[in-house]
Amino acid sequence: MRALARLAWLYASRTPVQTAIVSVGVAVSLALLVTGRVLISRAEMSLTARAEAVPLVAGAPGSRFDLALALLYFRPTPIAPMTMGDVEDAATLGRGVVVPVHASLTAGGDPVVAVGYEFFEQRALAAAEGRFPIRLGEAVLGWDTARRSGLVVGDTFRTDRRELFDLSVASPIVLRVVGVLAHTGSVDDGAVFVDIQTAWLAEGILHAHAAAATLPDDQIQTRTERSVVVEPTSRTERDVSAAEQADVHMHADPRSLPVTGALVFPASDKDLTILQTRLNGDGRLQAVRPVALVRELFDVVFRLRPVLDGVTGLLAATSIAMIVLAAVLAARLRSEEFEALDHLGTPRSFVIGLVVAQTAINLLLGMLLAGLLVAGAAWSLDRWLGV
Amino acid sequence: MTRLVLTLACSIGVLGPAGCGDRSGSAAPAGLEQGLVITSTPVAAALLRELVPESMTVEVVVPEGADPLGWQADDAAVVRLRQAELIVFHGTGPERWSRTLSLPSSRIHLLADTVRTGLILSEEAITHSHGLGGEHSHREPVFGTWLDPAMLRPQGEQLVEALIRIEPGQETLIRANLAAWIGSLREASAVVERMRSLEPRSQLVADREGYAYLARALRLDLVDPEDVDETRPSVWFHGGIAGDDVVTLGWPDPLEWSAESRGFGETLAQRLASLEQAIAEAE
Repeated sequence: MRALARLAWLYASRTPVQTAIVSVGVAVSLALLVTGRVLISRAEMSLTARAEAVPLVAGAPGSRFDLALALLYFRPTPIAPMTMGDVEDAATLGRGVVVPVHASLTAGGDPVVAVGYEFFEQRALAAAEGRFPIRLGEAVLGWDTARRSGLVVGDTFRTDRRELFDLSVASPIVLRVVGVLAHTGSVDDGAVFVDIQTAWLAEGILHAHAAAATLPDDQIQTRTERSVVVEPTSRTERDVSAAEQADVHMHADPRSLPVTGALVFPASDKDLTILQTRLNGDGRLQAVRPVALVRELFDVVFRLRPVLDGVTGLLAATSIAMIVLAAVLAARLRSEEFEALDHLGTPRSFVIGLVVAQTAINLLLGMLLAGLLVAGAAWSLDRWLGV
Repeated sequence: MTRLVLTLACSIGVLGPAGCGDRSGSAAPAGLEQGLVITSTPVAAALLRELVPESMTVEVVVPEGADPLGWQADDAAVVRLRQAELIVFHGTGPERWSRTLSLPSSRIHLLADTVRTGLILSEEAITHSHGLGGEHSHREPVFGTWLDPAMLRPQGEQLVEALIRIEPGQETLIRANLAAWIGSLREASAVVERMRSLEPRSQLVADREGYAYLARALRLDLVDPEDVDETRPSVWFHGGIAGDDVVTLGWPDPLEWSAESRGFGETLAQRLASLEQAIAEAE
């Protein structure tokens, strides 16, 4: 038996091109057979896990899928913002925790996600280094973002400029790293998290400037006892250090402040149903269950399953035919060798065993290669999904 | 490499969803201290202590002796606030320090929300103009709503609902505490009604706007020490210049409340009675 295996292996190693061609053929056939199913099940598992972690998302009316993508995967999607007033109204219903999310900023290409503090609690996130943001301008980095950027606690970086040629858009703000999140294996690893108010600072709604009453005369147009008109060229501070936080203010109604949407964590299933009904009630907002969306998405995919199964069956038949053909052709090529073995008195069963062993080697190599191809595809899918 | 192996293991189903999927997500926040209620001023703490059951703890985040209007929270204070099941803020001036901090808003109860329409805006803000925003000022609501019994009662009633949400098992006890507390406010309300019926001419003098609600309840003018009308009798809350028609009360600061030995309502009634007497003396 060992001699048989040794002979088969020697033949495979002496004919590397032939072995490689057959193995790659087997690998591609197997990978095609398996990859589709693996990718679908993996995508379903990943999307479902993320969706299950957030029972309900709420936002302005529009595409349900865009809303879920923006709030769960922090992808820039063309959805209308909702207001903090809407978030407060939803919270006032008293049926769960409503966490505002602002997800339209980036830094170095990574999403800068501004969230209410409860986001960290509800998602059970932990800081591997440092802490969560406490003040304006503080940021905690996702695990992958920290590794990729090389930033550590105490470093500073700027948000990306949003509109290069629009001077009315607030310029980037300076963020200070105060922590790095523990690895989660989720999309959170590739993001930067700040407090929700920092988003409004970045948008210029919240801002800081020296007290109007104490500004030097060259920055003042007119000054009376109860009124100061500051020169329009006066700049607002884009690096809000701890010392300047007391000077930060806004001129907007707090209820009108924009957010991308809200993550809703109801206290019970009953509360979830009531919240969803209430939020969808007057048409001003929409509340969507991410799990239902994922199920809907995969229902469509699985409706195509008979077609997929048919293609898979054809591929399987083609693959088997190819493997048999390869084995038969290889045996033909070696017919003289087998005749010589016969003349030497080698039993016929040994020759058959040799062919089977060589086919098995090709199959094993092909399966190994197919496994790597499938793993590579799954890894690419994970990267794409941000998992 | 580790990741690749894990991916391979996941792809062939060696690891279950727990190993391969999203591991984050939990309904119960960790780190919460059960029954902990944190507030910002001694006066709110005094109010809370009359309403909460014994199983709950009331803390004041601002250190004793510090002025809440000028205090700045350090990191430790914010971490402590995040551990509270309920954070009770006035929602007016005393929590200026909290505005830019990252706090769990779902656990913050603003006392002033109940009386939002009756709030008085500060006159101290300076109007200014810069950028594209046009002329504006940063006027904020005045604190001191608790000095008017009519504004205080709904705040207590709403606060009780927040307490019951975190301690539903203690609802009966909390409601009984509320009933007792409302009873203790009757005397203070009676003093206010009595003073209003007398239609006094006096002016109340204070350098803090915190007495504005009390002055409004009594239909009296609250004036700054620099704007005193010397032709009218005046009652000064602090300091004051001696004279026949000038009475100085020597009240503690509106944000201070050391009522360990007496109940909230009793303390308020006693302060209002001293004001009633002072007005009578001044006139």
